[in-house]
Amino acid sequence: MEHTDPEVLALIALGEPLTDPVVDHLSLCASCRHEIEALRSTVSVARSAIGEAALQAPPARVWQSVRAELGLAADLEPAAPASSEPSRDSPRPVVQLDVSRERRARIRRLIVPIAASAAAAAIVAGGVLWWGATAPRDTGQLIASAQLDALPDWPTASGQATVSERADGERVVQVSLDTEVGDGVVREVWLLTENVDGLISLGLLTGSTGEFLVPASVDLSQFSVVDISAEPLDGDPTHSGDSIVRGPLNA
Amino acid sequence: MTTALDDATELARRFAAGDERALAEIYGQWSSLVYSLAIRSLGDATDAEDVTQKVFVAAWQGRERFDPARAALSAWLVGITRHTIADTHQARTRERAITEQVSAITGDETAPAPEVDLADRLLIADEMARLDPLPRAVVRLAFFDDLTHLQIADRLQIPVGTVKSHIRRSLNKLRGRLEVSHGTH
Repeated sequence: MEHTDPEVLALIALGEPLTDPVVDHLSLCASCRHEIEALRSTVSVARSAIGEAALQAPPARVWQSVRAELGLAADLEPAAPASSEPSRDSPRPVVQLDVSRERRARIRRLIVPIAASAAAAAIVAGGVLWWGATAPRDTGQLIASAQLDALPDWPTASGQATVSERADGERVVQVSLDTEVGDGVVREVWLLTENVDGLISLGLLTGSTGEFLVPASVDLSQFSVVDISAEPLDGDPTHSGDSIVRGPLNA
Repeated sequence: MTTALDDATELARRFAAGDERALAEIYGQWSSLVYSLAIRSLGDATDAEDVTQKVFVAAWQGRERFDPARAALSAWLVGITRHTIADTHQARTRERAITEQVSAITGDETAPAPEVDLADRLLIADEMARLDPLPRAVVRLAFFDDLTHLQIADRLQIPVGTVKSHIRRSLNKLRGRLEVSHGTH
């Protein structure tokens, strides 16, 4: 008995339709069914990981403290995992949201440099990949809008955003921004939580208007602020902190 | 993948037997996860550093209680991390009760999040961040935009076969990362 092509099993785990011969095989083959189940649970964890950043390594002093507290050999160093990333000493705040806002104790949460924009990194690194949405097939029903106001460094900027829901349930953010940026800088569209403890990249804005699909698992009541930033083409997928305009979505 | 699991088992055995270098290796492999879980739950880098230190100190001191046949080392570490984070939340609550007699703070979320699921999510997100740009773009379109492999090929202007092979290989990498974390042998 010939097993189903592993590539096909992977597609099935992602929810793509099955062909008749595959259905026939699966009805007989527990091993292929098991493979699909295992891949499917990976897919389901991965789909829940939207907006999560890569892991952060603790600063080197933590290991030094462990070593000292346990009295281990002074030259014992942690072995780096095979594909380790350079560690950062502390979480880097992605964006200074509102200088005038006092940080309240109860939102002493992490402002994670969420690499939701791994996609943005792909664009920057790949140069040719375009991450934005395809043009929506229909204009859909308007569900929210935002007036995007200039941040102090961009006094003449202004923009607008609308969110509409298409007949197929996809939500589309349309933004317009009249401000150009210099060479070597691109404009990136983000959804933020009100407290800036979450951040999702929607993609790069080319031209003065753009349309972006909102991933289905994103809750717009949480990610309720539209932000457009100026991003240097430095390969760093995190928010530069240099926002041009920003505004809350109002239903 | 079998190799990764075998390595993990061998490392766990050396750790349980009291090999200091095994602790150093384990720290190298899992301190990022422990630290990231702590920082996510506590929101404070200094507290997260304390938790990370406590977890590895407790793991070493309690290594005789670790049974490689019963649990994956990483799952055991995540368990210790969960307890240590919960202790820190409790200490904070006590501290607040003493120092903040008049407080406008309400509804602070002190209940620890389900760290095991979060641990899986963080591991997967980390593995995704390590994919090369093209496979990463492919799986993001498949996972988050729900595009089929044909739509992805069209969107990225690359051959269908390339999309399929990136999907399969990336999915296996992600799965391998979870299996190393959960597998017992």
